[in-house]
Amino acid sequence: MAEVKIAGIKKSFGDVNVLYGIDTTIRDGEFMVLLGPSGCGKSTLLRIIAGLEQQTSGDVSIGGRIVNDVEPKDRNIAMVFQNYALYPHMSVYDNMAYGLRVRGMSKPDIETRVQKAAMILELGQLLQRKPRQLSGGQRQRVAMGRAIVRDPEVFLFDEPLSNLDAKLRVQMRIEIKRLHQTIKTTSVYVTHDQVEAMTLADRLIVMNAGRAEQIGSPLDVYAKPASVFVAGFIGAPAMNLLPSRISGGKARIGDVALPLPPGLDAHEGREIMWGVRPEHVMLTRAGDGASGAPIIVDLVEALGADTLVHGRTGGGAALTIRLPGSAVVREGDHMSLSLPADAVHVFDKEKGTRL
Amino acid sequence: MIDRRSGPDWLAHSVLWTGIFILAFPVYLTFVASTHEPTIISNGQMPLTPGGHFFETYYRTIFIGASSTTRTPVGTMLTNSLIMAMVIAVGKIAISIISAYAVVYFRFPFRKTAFWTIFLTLMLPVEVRIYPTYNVVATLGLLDTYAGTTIPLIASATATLLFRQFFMTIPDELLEASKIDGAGPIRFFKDTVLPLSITNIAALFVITFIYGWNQYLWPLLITTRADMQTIVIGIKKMIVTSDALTEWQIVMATAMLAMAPPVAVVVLMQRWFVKGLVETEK
Repeated sequence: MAEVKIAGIKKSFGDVNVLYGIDTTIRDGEFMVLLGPSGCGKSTLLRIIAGLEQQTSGDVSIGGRIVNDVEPKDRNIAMVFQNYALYPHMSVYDNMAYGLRVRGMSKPDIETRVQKAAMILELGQLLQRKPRQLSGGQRQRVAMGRAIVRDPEVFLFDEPLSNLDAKLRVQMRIEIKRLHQTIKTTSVYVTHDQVEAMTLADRLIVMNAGRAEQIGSPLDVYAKPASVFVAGFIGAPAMNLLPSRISGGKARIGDVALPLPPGLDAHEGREIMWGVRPEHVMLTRAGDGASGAPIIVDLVEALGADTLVHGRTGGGAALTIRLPGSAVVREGDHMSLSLPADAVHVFDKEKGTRL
Repeated sequence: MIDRRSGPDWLAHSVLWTGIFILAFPVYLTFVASTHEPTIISNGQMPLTPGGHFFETYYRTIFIGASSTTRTPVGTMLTNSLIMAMVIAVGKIAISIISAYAVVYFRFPFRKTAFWTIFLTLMLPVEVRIYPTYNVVATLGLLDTYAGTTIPLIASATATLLFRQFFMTIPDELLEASKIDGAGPIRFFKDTVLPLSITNIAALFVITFIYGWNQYLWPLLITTRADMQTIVIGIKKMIVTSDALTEWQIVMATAMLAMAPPVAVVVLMQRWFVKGLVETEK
């Protein structure tokens, strides 16, 4: 186990910049998730940590040792690939044993380690099968087994669950989490799936266009997104983000005034993005002495546990609101918004940063 | 496969049977001719049923040879052909798999140039470069040697191209997984690329073995000694056009023997051959 330190990592392919300088430290035993949309550079960063890609500048160190010029095999890492990358002509046993054999480990030691990994991952019955005789989930487990037997200092996962169907993905997600709790190896996990990120991560790095937008624990990132991008990316359905202006202690969109959290007096007159999560908005019937901004319901999606309400405020701004499944709301209803001021997020409109 | 029929079964079958007849009948006649007395064939009274001289003719052909013309036992010719075809087939596969590996997996200066240079040699079969190649082989003192008959034919753009295309379908992640597992270029080649290429190798073996076996012009130029002759040349030399008597039964037996090894290779490797051309183990 080891700490992974990334300092000022930049990467460009020819003229195209992919990473603009990433700095972070992944603590010993921590499960770090790199989250972002496709093309944000998260896989490139992982491959740089693995040594499969050479950074343009910056340092990677694993366990206090700078590994910039160290071959992947000598970095003491193991990687799980999106398409599993199992050797198709080798049995499950050989797939797991191969890395150990190459390193010249003795046969009995290999046997012990492979059997142990097979036991953890419940692969005991499948050891003599070829990868093509396995289901997707089983292949994924073999790929993890291949990583475990090496007993590396760092696990690297490159979107390992995205080739699985939805049900299996949930199951494997739990298995990965359990595995990490058992063996506590420092892990870096790349995904574009926020649910995976939120459930697996001790901390996560939200990446966008080659930059780390925010680094923090999943709940921190959810509760205090550092930028408009993070606010819109984390959470489903996405946060409501409305361009507006601060005036008289309220956010104004046309003639609608929306509440603001305290402490923004210095920003009077500023152009902002006003944001609130769908789950933090309440609706009351208009006219029952309601004081909030009026809203007209356009569309109702009843999901069972939740009901999603899409509506329009007087100024034409669209909002999505998440209500309990029991709420009775119909298209065309006139409602009134009520939202606590401390649930509101305010971002600078131009720079996108949190105010 | 989609079963979309347009026309009755008997039509398709009769076309197939006609094709089989056209192909097989001459072979059958050759066999029949090789079992009769030479005079019967020379007289033009070709029977349609095998005669009684099978063992005698084949014994003479293999161990003694045509007594009036080549005088080399066909057994020797068969050995020569077999060595030539094997060396060419194995050599072509070995050289092209290595060069394709280099072209696909290594970044070196002029990699593309190297590949296209190999590709260009498709336009230079031995018939085109026959004089300079002969000159080189003669200068090296390789006339009448196995090296002389095989080495100039070993380089193969086709095989290199085939392996290159196949290697490019191997997922990059396999290479990366091998790197992380600690395998260097040679181990990756030996442990992963080679086992995955096995069906392609088999298919290429069939093609190149037959190519080598059927070589005529090149060994004709390079070999002068009787004991270096290949069977394909031997057949031609047994047939005399002057007034001497051609021993047709021996010519026919030689033809049968010349056909046997390529047929055996195709029959034995057919399954692999088809597999190698149409699918890959991935």
